[in-house]
Amino acid sequence: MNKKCFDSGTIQAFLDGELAPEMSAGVTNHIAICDACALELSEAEDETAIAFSALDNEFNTLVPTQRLWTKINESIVEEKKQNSVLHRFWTVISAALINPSITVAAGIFIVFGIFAAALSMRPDSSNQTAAINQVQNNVTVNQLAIPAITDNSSLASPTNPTIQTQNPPVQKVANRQNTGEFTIQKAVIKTDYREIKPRQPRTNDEVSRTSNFLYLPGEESYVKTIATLKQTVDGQKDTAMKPSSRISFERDLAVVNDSIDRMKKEVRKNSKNETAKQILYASYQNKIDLLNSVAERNELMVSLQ
Amino acid sequence: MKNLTIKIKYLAITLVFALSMPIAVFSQKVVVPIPARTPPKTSMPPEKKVDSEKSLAVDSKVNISLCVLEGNVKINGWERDEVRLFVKDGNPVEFKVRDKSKQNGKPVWITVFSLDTKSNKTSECFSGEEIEIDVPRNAIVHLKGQETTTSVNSVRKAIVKNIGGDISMRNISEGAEASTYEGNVIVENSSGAFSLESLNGNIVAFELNPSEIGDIFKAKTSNGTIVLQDLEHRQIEVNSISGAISFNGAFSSGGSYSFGTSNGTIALSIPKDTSCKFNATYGLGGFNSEIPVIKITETKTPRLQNVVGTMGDGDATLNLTTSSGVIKIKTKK
Repeated sequence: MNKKCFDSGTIQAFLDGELAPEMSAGVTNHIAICDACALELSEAEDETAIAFSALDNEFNTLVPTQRLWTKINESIVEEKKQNSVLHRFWTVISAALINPSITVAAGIFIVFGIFAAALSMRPDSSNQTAAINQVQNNVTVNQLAIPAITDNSSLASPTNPTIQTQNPPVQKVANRQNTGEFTIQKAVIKTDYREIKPRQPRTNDEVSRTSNFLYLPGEESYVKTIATLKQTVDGQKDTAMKPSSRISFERDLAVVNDSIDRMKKEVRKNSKNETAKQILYASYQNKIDLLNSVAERNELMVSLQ
Repeated sequence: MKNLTIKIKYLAITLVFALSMPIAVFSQKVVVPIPARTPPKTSMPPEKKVDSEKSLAVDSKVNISLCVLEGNVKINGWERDEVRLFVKDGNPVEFKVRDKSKQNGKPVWITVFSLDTKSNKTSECFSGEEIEIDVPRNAIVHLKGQETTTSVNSVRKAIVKNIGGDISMRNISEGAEASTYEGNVIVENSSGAFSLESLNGNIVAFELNPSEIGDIFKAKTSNGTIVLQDLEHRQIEVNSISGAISFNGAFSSGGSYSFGTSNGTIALSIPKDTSCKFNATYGLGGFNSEIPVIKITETKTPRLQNVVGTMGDGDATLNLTTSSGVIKIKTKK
């Protein structure tokens, strides 16, 4: 050992790789020519090996942490990849939209998508029939003013107070009297259709009709049956019935509709009113029987021919 | 810059076209084709009207089916096993045997058809000013008519359905069905199950009784009055839309009686010692009873009032419903 020999701390630092590159090169050159330092380095290596073997378990406990780091790193890489996919997708879309024809197609697709969504959000048919039934009930009640229905001149008169003040749909009917009664009936239905749009309610009454309308158990089937029958009967009642019978029919229909309306209000007021429910169902059945009688009458007439 | 302008133009045109489509769809009006009115039907065949009379030996329990377009029809039961048909001022008619008895070979199901002598064509329906049919008392009569005034007397069962004209029945032994759209229905002194309907007419039934246990009496009208007197059926169902109902009789023990009208009065005239449990519901009207009742529950709302109670021991069940009318219970004298 001479004065140029390194102390044990430097040799240990050399082993640990903690020395600066120049210092490390100097230590390497010195050990090559100094047996004492080489011996000391060898001893230090042995000590380090013993120490590492003793601390091996401790070092292994670090492995999960490193795995965790690995996963984190992988996740970061994956996220970067995804970002790049989105970026690439957007790049492709942008490139595609440069072409005018593709832009046109995309525009049509988007607009039709909106249109389809708007159509699908419209109220379902059962509510439509219910609301149609509701409004037609009112129309029929107004038909109690029989001259207003049967007398064209009185209907056409703009001074007719019944039509002008009571029910706007009937007013529309009056304006179309010259085109025949079937067009008249359709005009009423068209009006009903507009009224059932929940987004454009016209009056508070209509709002309550559409938004508060809840079917009782079994009521929906009555309403649907009535709607179907009414559709059938509307095309037959002019040919199947005499004027006097027609008046009676309309009057009875109005009576039944009035009863249905009153019982509906009663049931809405108190949903546990079983008596009102029974009368409501009975009134529905009366209406079905009444409408059915016209259809059966027509069938009988056909069978007699 | 030029490309951008072209792109904007394309996009604007596309949007205008695409938006115009739904607007056009929503603004469409549904045009309903006006159905062609059927020409007025000629009820009488254009052939010469004659008097005709036919007869046929049949089984005592024969079924007879008839279709009469117009005329005054009288069906009468007699003691012979023979059907006799007389048509005054009408089409020539013939019998057609549909089925025969396996025991005696006599017809058990016959129909009547008219014969056009010129064209030799047959028709199921015929007309006549007066149509008289004599049938065995045990016969079942099916009559389908257009404008007929029908009278049925002393047969086992009668099923009559016509469009216009009164129907009257009496001495029916095993029930009847009568349905007319423009006319009255009158049934008297008969037994069995009854189903009577009139759209624009009254229904009158008196002195009827069941021929078997469980026979039901049903009467239904739209705007006619229903009058029932001395009915002994244990189950009676009566319904009208805008007509009044009048019942004069007694309730059998364990019977079920239902009277309902949307817009009319229900008047019951029953013995003072009537025993029934009743459920009376009325809207714009009232409930009056000359017979003392024990009210179990009474519910009142502005649109609907309901009274549940008993008379006597409460043997029968009585349901009374009127949406706009009065319920009156009087003592039968």
